[in-house]
Amino acid sequence: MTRARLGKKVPPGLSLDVEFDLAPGVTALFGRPGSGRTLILDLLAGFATPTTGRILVDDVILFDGAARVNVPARLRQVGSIFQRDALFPHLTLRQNVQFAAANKPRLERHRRVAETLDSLGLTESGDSKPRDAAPEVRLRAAAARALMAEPKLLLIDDCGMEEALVTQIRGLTKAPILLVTRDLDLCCTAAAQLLVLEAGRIAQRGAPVEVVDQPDSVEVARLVGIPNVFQGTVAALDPGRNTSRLEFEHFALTGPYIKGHFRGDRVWVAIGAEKLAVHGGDEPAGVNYVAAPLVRAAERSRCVRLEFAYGITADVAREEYARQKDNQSWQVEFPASALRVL
Amino acid sequence: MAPDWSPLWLGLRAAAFSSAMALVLGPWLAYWLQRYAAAAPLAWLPLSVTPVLLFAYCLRAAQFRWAAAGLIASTFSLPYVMRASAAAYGALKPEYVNAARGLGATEWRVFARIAGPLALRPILAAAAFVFAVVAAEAGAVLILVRAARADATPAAAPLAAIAAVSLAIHYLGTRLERGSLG
Repeated sequence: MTRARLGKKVPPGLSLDVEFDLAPGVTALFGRPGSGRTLILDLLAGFATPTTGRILVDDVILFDGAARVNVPARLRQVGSIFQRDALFPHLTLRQNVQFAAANKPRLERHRRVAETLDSLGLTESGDSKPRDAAPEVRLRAAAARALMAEPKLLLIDDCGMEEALVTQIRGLTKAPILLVTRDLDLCCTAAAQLLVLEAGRIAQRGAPVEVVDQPDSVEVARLVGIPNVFQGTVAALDPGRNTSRLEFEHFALTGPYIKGHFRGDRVWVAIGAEKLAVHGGDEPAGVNYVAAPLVRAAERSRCVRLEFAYGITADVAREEYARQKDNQSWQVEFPASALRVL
Repeated sequence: MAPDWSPLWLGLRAAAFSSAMALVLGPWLAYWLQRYAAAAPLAWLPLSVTPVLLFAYCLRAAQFRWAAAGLIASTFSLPYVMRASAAAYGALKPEYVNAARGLGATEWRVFARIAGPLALRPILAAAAFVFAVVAAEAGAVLILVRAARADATPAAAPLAAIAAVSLAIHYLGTRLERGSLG
């Protein structure tokens, strides 16, 4: 079992208080810079000391604030891949990996180093210095070095690692992996669990796709990149028809019935930009069609982002935008099933 | 009368002795002292007294012994090299040391394999500066003392040679510090 409960105050404004379990496989830690992500890794690795809490890795207590147990970093068997390049610059990539295997007998050390380099495609570049290696190769070498020490827990900071390498690392170790990243796509593809960190607290946890689709709070919705977050009032509730009527400052929507709320309650509603549909203003208005002037259209990597008045943002396919770009006026459709009441 | 070159050699030997002492002990002591920031000022304390000690020794000693002068100079050299070492360690990315610790390395191994080699240039430069200062100080004072005792004018050639050696080592140290050597 790998479990951590960590408390630490970092002046001026961060007060970390988190508790989480790490199952085998990849757990992603997602949050803004400054929310305490790297601090959590430092506390787990033993590079910083929590004020309170307990760290249990593979059923071994590494830190217990109450019992005054604090195992030093070198005895923790917690591997780290740092955000900034931390390969020793005066050693070759092979020597970097060998450094992690110093306590092994000579023959075994050479065999293990060769195997690890080979498994990460570093055999040919093993004799080059880090400064002569490409960033991708350096990242692989950092992973090889961390894996060489046979960690019981592997910590990967936000170092721009791609999904393929994360998957490869996951295949090379049975240790739980805690991956700090700002890449939601990577969270969804590589991680089994997602922890969303907001100002030193875990705001939401769960399967990545669930968290992204169903954020629990305004903070999480904004963190996972949902631009459409509106505060409104419950104007009507109809449990029989399983519907509700929500009124916002500039428009009203029909949504699913909201359990646990009464008429007049103030609620936050979120909907992903990609879930909105856009129509020309001359089309007949349907359910949840909101007429709104287009403020700005911006090219994105895979779509066009349309920003309307009232803070409404929709992502549409390029072909769709090309078809509609000459609209004189616009209507935005909010599918009722995609509305998420926070 | 031929100039007496022995003060130059004695000064150089004292400088070599004190630099070697400082080079062997200084970097490790500085690394070790990083954990005890409160104790660090004590290590710098000898910096303020040792030139006086060295001058006093040169003036009073009937028989000048280079090893004794080197030992006295070490109390000045050691803190100087320690200070340079501490600054060099402070300039290292903390990830290097943390990575080494996380990979199971003892503090001695972190120092010997990672922190020491990465901070080698400024440490060697500090040792070179110390060598130049001690060689000039001990050699020049010895020449002046001997001349005073013999009631003679100090020979210019050994004094010039000491200055030249000191300048050359200073220059090498500066280049080493700037990374243009090696």
